[in-house]
Amino acid sequence: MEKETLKHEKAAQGLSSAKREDIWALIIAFVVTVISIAAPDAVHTFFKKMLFFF
Amino acid sequence: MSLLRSMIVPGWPRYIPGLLLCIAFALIVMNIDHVLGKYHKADAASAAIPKIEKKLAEARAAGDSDTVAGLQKKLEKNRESLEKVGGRAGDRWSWATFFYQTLQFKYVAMLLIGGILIRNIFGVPGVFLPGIGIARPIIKPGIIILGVHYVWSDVIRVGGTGLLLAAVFIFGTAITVMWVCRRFGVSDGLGGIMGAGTGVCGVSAIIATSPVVNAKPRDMAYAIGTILLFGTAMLFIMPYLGRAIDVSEPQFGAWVAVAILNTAQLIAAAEWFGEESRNTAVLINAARIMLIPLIVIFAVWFYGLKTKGADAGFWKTMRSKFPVFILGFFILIIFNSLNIDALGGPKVEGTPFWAMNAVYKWFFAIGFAGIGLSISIDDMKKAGGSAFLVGSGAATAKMILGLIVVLLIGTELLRVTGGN
Repeated sequence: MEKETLKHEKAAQGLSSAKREDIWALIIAFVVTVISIAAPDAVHTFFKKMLFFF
Repeated sequence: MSLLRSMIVPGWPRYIPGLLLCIAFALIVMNIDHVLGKYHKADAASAAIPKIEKKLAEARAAGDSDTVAGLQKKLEKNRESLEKVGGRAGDRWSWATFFYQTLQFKYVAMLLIGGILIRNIFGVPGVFLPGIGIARPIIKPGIIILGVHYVWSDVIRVGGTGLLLAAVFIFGTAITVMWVCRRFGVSDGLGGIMGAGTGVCGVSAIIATSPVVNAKPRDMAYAIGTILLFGTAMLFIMPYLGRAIDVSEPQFGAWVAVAILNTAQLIAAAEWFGEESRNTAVLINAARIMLIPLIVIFAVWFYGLKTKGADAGFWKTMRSKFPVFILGFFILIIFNSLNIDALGGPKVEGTPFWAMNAVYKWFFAIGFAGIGLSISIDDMKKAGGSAFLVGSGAATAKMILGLIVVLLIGTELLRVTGGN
């Protein structure tokens, strides 16, 4: 348990939460870009039509 | 490997319930917004069709083929809007126009006001709170993707103006607040974080500056409470104030980027006002947040502090405080400016950038849900003491001066064209 806490503390020290947020934002945006390149129509239909139920 | 490990938030499963709540809230509100928007469009189309038909008849009689073609296209579009709700010309849906246009009750307002009401009237169970807290930064991927809306000429013109505007306001406010705090005997810790908080980016600047100025937890609570209180008040007041003063959308975008301190709140206010306003606000905000490391360095110099460890040194501070996600935003602007056929543009159907243009609003919606649900009246009550007086004075002065400056700059220098 103590070891686990230490691991978490070390991990948290590695990157600040703001930096972690930034890197995750870059990863998510990159994934969206790749999927949009692979299947633009599917992405557009999903976010502009399928998610609207009424 | 350690970098990979540090990318995973410790105790991440506890964030999932709150995040799912924000996604569900955003989904419901986006659907309500969609229905309201559809009926508002139908209402406007229903009123417009007889007028267009009359003009069309006149243009046909005059033999003006260009006008006839243009009016026919307009007529078709309006008929499509009516068909979507199964209505006919003459039917009215004035309730939709009242909510959507008169009250500006769009998805941003619904998420923010709805979130505040849910949080403060019904309450949010503790299990959701950690996840609600991390929903707000979900706006960041949305900001990056929004990069497909800009070209380099926008960055140079609007971003250049914005950078200058941001630099003057940030350092002007920070220096004034720090000086006033020192003069009135406010502790260096509180003065330092209030200077950074009212000057740059609100809560994130307070958190970034607090270790270098040795701020106490109570000081941080005061400063964050004050920033949240003003950010929230301005977020609701400014869109209505902007309409009352009749500023243009690009001017409003620049104004909120200067006056509101928190990225998520300013984007919410600008999105609420209009698309053009949001485009200008996001670009100026990108220029502004790049100045965060400089304000931390300034605080270190102003208070004559010696920092230790990772925060020591100019370049180390620059590196540790620089908002790296903004690089993704600029990379997409570069690609959009290069006019690459394979990537297309936000308005070119069937292209990757057109697809990405459909996504960003969802990231914003989840983030706005996070803002609304995390605004607690109890937290705002923590605003107090001298921090409140200095913070409120600086924020109000910045809002008034910001308005004067954007009115002097005019609309064109602040308008984002977007290319494509």
